Amino acid sequence: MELKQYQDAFEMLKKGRQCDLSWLFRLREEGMAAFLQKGFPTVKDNAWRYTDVTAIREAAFVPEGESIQPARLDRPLEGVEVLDIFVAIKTFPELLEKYLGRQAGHEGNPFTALNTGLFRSGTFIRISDGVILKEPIRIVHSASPARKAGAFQRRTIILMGKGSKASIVETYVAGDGQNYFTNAVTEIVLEEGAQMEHCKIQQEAPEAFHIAMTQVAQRRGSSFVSFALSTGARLMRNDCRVALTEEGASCELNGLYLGDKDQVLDHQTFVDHQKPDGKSDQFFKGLLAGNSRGVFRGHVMVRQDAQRTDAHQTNKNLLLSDTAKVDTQPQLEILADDVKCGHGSAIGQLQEDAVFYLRSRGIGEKEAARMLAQGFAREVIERSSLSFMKETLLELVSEKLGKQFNSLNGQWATGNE
Amino acid sequence: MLEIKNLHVSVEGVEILKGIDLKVNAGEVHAIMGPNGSGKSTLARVLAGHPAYVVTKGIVTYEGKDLLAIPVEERARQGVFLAFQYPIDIPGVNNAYFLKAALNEIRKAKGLEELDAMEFLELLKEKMKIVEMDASFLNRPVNEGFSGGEKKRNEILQMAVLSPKLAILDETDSGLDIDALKIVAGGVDKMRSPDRAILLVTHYQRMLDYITPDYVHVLMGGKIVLSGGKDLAFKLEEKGYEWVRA
Repeated sequence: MELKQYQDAFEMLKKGRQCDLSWLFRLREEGMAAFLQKGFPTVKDNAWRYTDVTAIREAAFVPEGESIQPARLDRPLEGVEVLDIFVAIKTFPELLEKYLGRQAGHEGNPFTALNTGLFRSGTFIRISDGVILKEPIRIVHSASPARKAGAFQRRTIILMGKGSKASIVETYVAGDGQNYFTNAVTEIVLEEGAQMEHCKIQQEAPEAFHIAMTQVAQRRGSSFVSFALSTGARLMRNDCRVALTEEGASCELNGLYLGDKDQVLDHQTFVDHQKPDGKSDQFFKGLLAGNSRGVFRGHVMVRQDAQRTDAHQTNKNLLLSDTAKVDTQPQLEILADDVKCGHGSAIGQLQEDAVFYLRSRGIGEKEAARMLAQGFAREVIERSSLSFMKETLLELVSEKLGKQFNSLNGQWATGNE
Repeated sequence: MLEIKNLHVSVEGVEILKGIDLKVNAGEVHAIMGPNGSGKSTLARVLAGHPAYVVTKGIVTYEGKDLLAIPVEERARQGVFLAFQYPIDIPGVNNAYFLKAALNEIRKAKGLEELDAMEFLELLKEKMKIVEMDASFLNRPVNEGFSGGEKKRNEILQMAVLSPKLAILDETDSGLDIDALKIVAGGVDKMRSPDRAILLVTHYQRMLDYITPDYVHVLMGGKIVLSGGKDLAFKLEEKGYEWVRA
């Protein structure tokens, strides 16, 4: 049976020390039960209708047991803790009991449930009240050491105290892994007035699978700015769910996905405006070549209480081949009456006139197309209010597009509008 | 430098140019004038190699080579330049970066060393004086958010930097107020040189106040119906295109 290796892994885990607190044991058992009961979702589940995970199920990945080297600070900083998640569970059991699995519940999402049941590695970050970090904290999730066809369950918890400020980068790289499955869950809590910038860079191996859930809870007046760059993996599903649980919180979610060959890159967001005077701005762009497919599904919920909400979402896509595809579905659900909301999406091709313009200045056809594609991608990076990482993001984009266009032989699609 | 013989051109099956003959030598400035819809812009775009236009008959020779057989970018590298009537916005592509890439492609084709960032910036500053352009334009995306006049100035700046042998200016004066016209046309005039030919495509005579052409041709109904010296432009301004028709 396709789920057996996960069940076996759980039986093993139950005997070990990563399960030895009663609340943790209970939480894991609930997660595992929820996962085993439903198994992997299928395209018949509305939430997964654009994301076919059959290949993950059939590949029968074996859960990795090794603990991966956790993120740590180069030098200790006052008011900042960066710990292996199991060290954190041992050191602050009550705190972890309070937060672990609270933001990312396992009810609606089988992958989150699986992660809760089986996570074997992870990072805990706590920034104390009023602490302002100048340097970003970097977490590198490397898929090594990996056995063949391993499944990595990663868990990250980030707690930002009142009025604190920090930037965090989570990078997913192949390491020496090739054919593997990453299942990541990140839980973030921003207390009153906290400000966080979060960059998620997904550069998994071309044959890898990547499923990620970032779940954020924002208290009064806090601000969350995120950027998700997705270039790797054969199949990616990236969920970002933000709950603005108190007044005056704001979030800005940016994303850029660059697909080629047979990649499927799927971004889904859910922004839940629960209280008045919240603000959310989403801007996602996709560049899709070859037979790749992009998905953007953004759901903004404005609850009855959330008056004077200002919520916007935009998704723009550029199809570089006739066989690339995109599904885009921005969605607004508004229950309050005094709101400012908007959404829009666009799908286009490289403009023939623009290609001609660049060529008429001596720039070769392939280079012209590459410049236009890069220009398209650049906008989302420059428009974002990230205070760091912009140069790095531009370099990563330029690297991927460079490779992509080098392998093309004048085979990209253009259109007039 | 440029010789056009019996050129017929169609767009989406409709014949626009119906047999153009024109000879342009290095050092000369030719004005192509004509009413709207006469085919002036078609001629300009065909010479630059716009893919929407289909040459059904005729020959265009540029420096002894069959121009129509040369790909668009290769024409530019060999010295052909078109200043667009409607310059295209290129979002996300920095103006200076774009211009440096273009110049270095052309230099490579000429067997010259590519310019590095410092050398390029020096050259650029020099050329920007010609069109009195502000340095802030360099770091903006190509043409995006530019006013009509700024776009036209940007075209002439590109021409100055790329230093073509054959410059074709498609309605460069349209949409310009008097002050902008003076700067843009003055910039073009400064680029007259014995080894460069300039083809000015225009509806009005007013640009010719700043750039005196050696020859004026009237294009109507897809054919050159009248050619003459600079005085012809004044006559047209005075009497209108109907006078030629009659």
